[in-house]
Amino acid sequence: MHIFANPARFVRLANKILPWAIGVLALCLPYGLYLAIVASPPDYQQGDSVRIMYIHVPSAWMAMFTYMVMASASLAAIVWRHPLALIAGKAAAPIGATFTALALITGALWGKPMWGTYWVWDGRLTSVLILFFLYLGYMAIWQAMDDEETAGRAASILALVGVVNLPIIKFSVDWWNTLHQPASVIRLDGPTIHADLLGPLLWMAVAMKAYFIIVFLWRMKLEINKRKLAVLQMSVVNAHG
Amino acid sequence: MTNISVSSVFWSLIKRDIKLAWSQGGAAGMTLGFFLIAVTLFPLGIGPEASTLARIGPGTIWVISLLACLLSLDRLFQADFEDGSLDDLAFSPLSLELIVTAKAIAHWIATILPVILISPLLAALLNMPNLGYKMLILSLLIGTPALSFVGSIGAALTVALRRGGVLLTLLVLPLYIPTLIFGVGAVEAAISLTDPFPHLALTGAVSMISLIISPLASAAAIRLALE
Amino acid sequence: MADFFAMGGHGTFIWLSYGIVFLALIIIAIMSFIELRSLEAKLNKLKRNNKRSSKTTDTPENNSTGKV
Repeated sequence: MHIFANPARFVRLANKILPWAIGVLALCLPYGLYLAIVASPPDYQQGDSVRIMYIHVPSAWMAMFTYMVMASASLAAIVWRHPLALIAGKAAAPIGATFTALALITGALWGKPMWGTYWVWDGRLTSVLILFFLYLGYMAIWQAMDDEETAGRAASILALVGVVNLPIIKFSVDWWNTLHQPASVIRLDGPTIHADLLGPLLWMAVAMKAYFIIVFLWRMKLEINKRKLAVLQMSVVNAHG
Repeated sequence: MTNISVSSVFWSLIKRDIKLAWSQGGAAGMTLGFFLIAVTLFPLGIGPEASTLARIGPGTIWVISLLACLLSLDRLFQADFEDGSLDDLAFSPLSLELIVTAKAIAHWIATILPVILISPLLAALLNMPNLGYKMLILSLLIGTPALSFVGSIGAALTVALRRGGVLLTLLVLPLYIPTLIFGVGAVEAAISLTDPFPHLALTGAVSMISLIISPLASAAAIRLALE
Repeated sequence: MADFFAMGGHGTFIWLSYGIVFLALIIIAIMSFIELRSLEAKLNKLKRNNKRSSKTTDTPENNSTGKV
């Protein structure tokens, strides 16, 4: 049972973090929503549809952040063979895929009133779509192989190859001069975005990060329990057989 | 001494794989056939109007070469994996990284190169403007190595699976998108008399990156399957 | 109030995007939580059964409960 010594410590840590994350979410989400929908003024160019930005941009940030979590876990899984790393990658993937899909959907719903079209094939949209496919591929490998260890490490290899896509997403708006607007918050020379817009954006971003931590830890605990259950059932079968 | 044997094993592995691809039961001939037939389906499906065909020509040829490449990839390591010769190769002086590189190179020469050579003929069938031919071949030559190399990662990841073909497609196709975009971009730039060089440079960059990454990733995946 | 929901003519897009985001995030969270709880319940049940079946033998666990 020494394999679970480490996960047991992790579960204790997770149980300590979870209430805090839930607290942050309960605090930031209502206030962020209030700022985003009610208190912030309409943009002088975009009108009220700028409010879509307050969920679109944090979703897109989380899509990339989750991929970084997944890729780091994959690296740890391959290099150090840390048992928790495989679990972390598997737990993060569906959350990341959801955030990516949401970034694409909210982007389409923002694009229609602003650009007059739901979708354009520019660098940013295409590379985020590739990110979504990478999440699907990662999860498909987990699905396709019977042995957890092999499946996890094969999926990890794909996740690491896909890291190439992250800088492409980040810089696509600078490399391709198209409809999607360039970065205005995370820039070397400081944000160019107006303070009225920055407030709700950051509150929503913190809320989504707290959400990620909560669901990520739940899913990791879930995967640990799955493995514990499998081991226990095996031992029961062995004891009776 | 060891240097000589490493390079000679490397080249003989490439030669062996090319020979196997063109021998009976090899995938190269069938891939070429697929390419021919699939491209001729487009005029039949879209209609024989010359101006329409001319507009979709470069894209069609690029997409079909991509699919033709995919079609031949799922057996890239599988035959050697099943009959155990991959295990033997793993004990040869060649590192696994070099083995997968050799097999990807052989795949490109045996399967993709014929497709490239025949592509001007099909471009003519699709009524592609004369300005595009040189750039079509050039962009295919520069871009398709990335298809073989990136494809080798997918082939290595799915080598132990009985029905790996569909999963392979799901894994590899998204990674083909950059090559497709820049490759078609180069041909279209040449046809519209703008500078194709930036597209071509990006196509080459994708090939270079895949040349660096894919031997490492494929070898890691093969090691996983051989364990 | 109607003005607030109309959002300057873009209401449909704005409310739809907020709706989809919250629906999707809530579904993922609830699904994860329910699966976690059901697994915990199964684990506890199995552990209890294991303890009951090994009560005849002297395990450290039985000793400690015996003292209480």
